[in-house]
Amino acid sequence: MLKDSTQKFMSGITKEGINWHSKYFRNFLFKHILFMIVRQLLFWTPYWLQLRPLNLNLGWELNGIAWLPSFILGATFSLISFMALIWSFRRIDYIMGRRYYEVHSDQTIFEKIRIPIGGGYYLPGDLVKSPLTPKKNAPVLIMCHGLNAIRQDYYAFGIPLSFMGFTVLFYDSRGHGEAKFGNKWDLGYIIKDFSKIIDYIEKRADNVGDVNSKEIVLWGISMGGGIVLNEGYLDQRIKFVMAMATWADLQMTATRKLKFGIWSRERLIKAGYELLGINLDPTDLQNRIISPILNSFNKKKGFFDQPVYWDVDNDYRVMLAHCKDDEMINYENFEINKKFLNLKPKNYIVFEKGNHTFAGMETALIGKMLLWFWQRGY
Amino acid sequence: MIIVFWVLFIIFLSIFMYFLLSNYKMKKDKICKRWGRILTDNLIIEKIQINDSKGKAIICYLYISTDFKNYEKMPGVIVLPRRDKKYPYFEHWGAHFALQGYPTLCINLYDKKLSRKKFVNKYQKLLPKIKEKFCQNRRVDPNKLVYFGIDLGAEVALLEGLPDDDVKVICGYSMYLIDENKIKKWNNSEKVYLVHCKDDKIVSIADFEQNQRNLGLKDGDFLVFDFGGHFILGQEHSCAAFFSIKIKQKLKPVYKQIIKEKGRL
Repeated sequence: MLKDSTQKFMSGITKEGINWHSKYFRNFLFKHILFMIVRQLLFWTPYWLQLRPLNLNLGWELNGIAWLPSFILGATFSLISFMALIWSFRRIDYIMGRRYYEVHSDQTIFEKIRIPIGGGYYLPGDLVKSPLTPKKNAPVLIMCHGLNAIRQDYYAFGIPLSFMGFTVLFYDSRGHGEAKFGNKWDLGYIIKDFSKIIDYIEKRADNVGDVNSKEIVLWGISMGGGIVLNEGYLDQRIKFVMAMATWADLQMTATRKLKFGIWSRERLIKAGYELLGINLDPTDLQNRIISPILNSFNKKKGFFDQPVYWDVDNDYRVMLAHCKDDEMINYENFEINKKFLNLKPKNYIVFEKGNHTFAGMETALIGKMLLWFWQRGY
Repeated sequence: MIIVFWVLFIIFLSIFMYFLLSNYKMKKDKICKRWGRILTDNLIIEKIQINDSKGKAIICYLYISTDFKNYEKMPGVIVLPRRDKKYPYFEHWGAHFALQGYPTLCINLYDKKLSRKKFVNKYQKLLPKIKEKFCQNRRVDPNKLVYFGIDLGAEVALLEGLPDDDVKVICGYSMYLIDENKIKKWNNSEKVYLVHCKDDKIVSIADFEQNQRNLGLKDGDFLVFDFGGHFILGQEHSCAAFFSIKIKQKLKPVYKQIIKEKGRL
């Protein structure tokens, strides 16, 4: 059995990671602590009113003990608050976490790889091949995982595609999974590391010959989609890209107005990310490095803002997918990406429900993904 | 004043119980209510009623992709889903195949009470009628059909699909052990693709291996997952993709190709 989302989230928290600098996180904690204190004060008020100097006779006692009713209410309320927190996390897991087992079949061959990214660091990964993957010059599909996820999370999407003849490359970004260096919140570096993976494929194509460096397809979800659109989109070595549930403008996404309520899922998720160490209030400069509409889609981008014009055939190159009820990367991001790329309906799929993980939509999503492949000669 | 305490205490206790029960329900529902409606503008869903020989209505759902409005004919898929779940529990299968351009008909098989033998007999008799009606659809290529079945549905799909020349591909997962005499007489099992999980407690992996031997399936014609149980929990989309790739390789449907413009990235 795999870890559920709550367990996975808890294991991702480190002491040094907690984002105490975040105003939102501090406010969130303050509101929750205040909420608890005010309630406790209310429960203890009748008891205090019975004490001197007021000495009121309120009949607030059980078995002749005046503090007992206040204590019972206070303790029960604390218990409820704790249960509510657990319930909220379980609810997130119920809505988004649908994986039970790691996808594994003896028919596929797993090769553990280490991708050098410079400075003596390596990204761990897997190359997965099926009996139908050609021994030489096999096309490559790279799968980029999301934030606080691991490469194994997306085996279910990638492994069956090896039966199309792909060699599927899964890897852990720095700070994730088996990559025991860097941090989850090194988004800029995580995005920049990607080009080293393509370098690795090129070298392997030359030295081993089992993969074809001219046939590289890129798939990413959430943060992986950020890698896809920021880094893969303009990489000429990549044939086409698929980005699922990803952002257009991270600053806009992270600082948007969230749903009201102290237990609102959106608020909890945001606080959860801050607890993991993610900076959800990026500066303009940070935002420019990690938001595709300011980075790779930005036709005016260049050194000292020297305009660099890219002529990209987006009809062929880009595919997007999103759910309208996505509580992490809100749907507006998809609309912005779509507008920037001037995408036609055949280039994307939108689901009414499914949240951030395409929960319940997985088979439909993979159906549409396959169509994208079929229409591009695979 | 102590009445206030008792009122608050009962309210708090109720809230606590609600959270406790809700936690338990979520854990259970995560498996039981795993699938539901697939709401997307890319999909057209049509409810179809087909009467059996006794005049009893069989409800089917036809799934078509909006991306394929201008296509003349594509291979058709008939889905025989789990018999213990009602509509829309099978919609994810319908959507999966339909989004690739295959007009897909899902039969609402919900029938928990019938024994295995009676169930298979009933739907073996019904399937030709359903097929006939399905093939009348202008989008369906009647000579290129796919039968996809789950559990007992897979058995029906296999037994009906093997002798039928119009059925070019039969896909099934978690299929029961089938009498080898019923299979061997047809000698055309190259159109069969199966998926199974090693930890299936209802149909053992030994039964799957026996089916595999009887059908003469080669490596690449079947996929065995280590985990997932009888209903391939968590492996559903892997299974779906495997079958779709096999269907594509076998039927070679023609798709309008999107070609990159020369000189552009």
